[in-house]
Amino acid sequence: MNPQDRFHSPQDEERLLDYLDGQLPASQARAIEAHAAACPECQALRRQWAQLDEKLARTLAHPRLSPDFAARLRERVAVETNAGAAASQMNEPRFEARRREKRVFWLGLLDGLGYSAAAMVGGYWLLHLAVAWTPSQSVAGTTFLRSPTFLFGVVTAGAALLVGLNLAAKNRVWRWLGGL
Amino acid sequence: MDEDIRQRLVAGQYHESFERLVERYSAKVFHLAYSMIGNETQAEDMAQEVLLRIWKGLPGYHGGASLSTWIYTVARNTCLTELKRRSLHPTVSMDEPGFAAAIDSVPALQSSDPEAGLEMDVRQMLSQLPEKYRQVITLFYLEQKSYEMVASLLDVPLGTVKTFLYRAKRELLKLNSRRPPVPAPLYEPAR
Repeated sequence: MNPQDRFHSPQDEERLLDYLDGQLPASQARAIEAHAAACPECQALRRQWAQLDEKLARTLAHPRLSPDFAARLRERVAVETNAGAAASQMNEPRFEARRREKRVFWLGLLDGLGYSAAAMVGGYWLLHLAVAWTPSQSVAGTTFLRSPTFLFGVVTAGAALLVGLNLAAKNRVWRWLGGL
Repeated sequence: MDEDIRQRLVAGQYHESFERLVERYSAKVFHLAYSMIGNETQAEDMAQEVLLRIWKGLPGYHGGASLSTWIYTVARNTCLTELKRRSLHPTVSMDEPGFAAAIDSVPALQSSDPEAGLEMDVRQMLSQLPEKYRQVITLFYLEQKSYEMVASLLDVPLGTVKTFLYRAKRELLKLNSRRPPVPAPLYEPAR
């Protein structure tokens, strides 16, 4: 700012207020001091701001944390930590139950697969024997009965039925046991 | 700056980390809450709430953002939630700045203590500022006039802080010049 300059832009005012708050580098501060020494407008602004700054500083520097703030916080943290530990203990049986349910499901599935495999092998041989005993010329369509497509269809359907029945029966038994 | 706290967190020493964190950040969180809420008691309650949330969130902090950024973000969000809740369920508190201003306008209740009068005076002026300016100027004085700290607490660029501060000061100067002079007492108290 020029000492003779009587027109102050908002940027000049901003710099003057920064100067009054001690926020300007030394070189800029010296330039503003030189200007303000000869500028009544800047001197008036400086006076006004100094008064207001003092008021603000006295009022706004006031709030302080209570001396027992940290102690109260520690208490709340302790309560929270204990509550968290208690909650996790309360949740433990629920986790256990969920784990047991999963175990039962996989055991049931493995069981079902085992029965199904046995049924597939047994069914195949039974069907094979039945077809072998059927007189080849007396019944129409025996060629279809001997075809691999028919055999595969019958065996798969039988196996699926067995798996379903097995799982349903297992579930019912486990539920019944759980209710005891 | 917070390397010691980070190292303890990595080692799973949550209690020790939290103790240091509280020591270092309680006042900052309180100042931030005070600048947003404008009431000392409520700001302190809010600071407790924020630090409790920080405690609960410590195991989930993996150092993505700096510790201070994370803490100030939690603080701002907690205060904003509280302010939103209040706007949905407004209540009148004797500690509210508006309430103090209303009391100030009743001549019979005006305090004879010049310090109390000054405080009411300033609070009334501040209550007339837009919220963002009020927040910036409050933090500026609480944080020993540090632009950088205000920018860090509010997560805004330094330039924005400077602009808001300048505008807040201009507004305050205008408001101050409009205020009527304090009338002289009608009689001097007997000595």
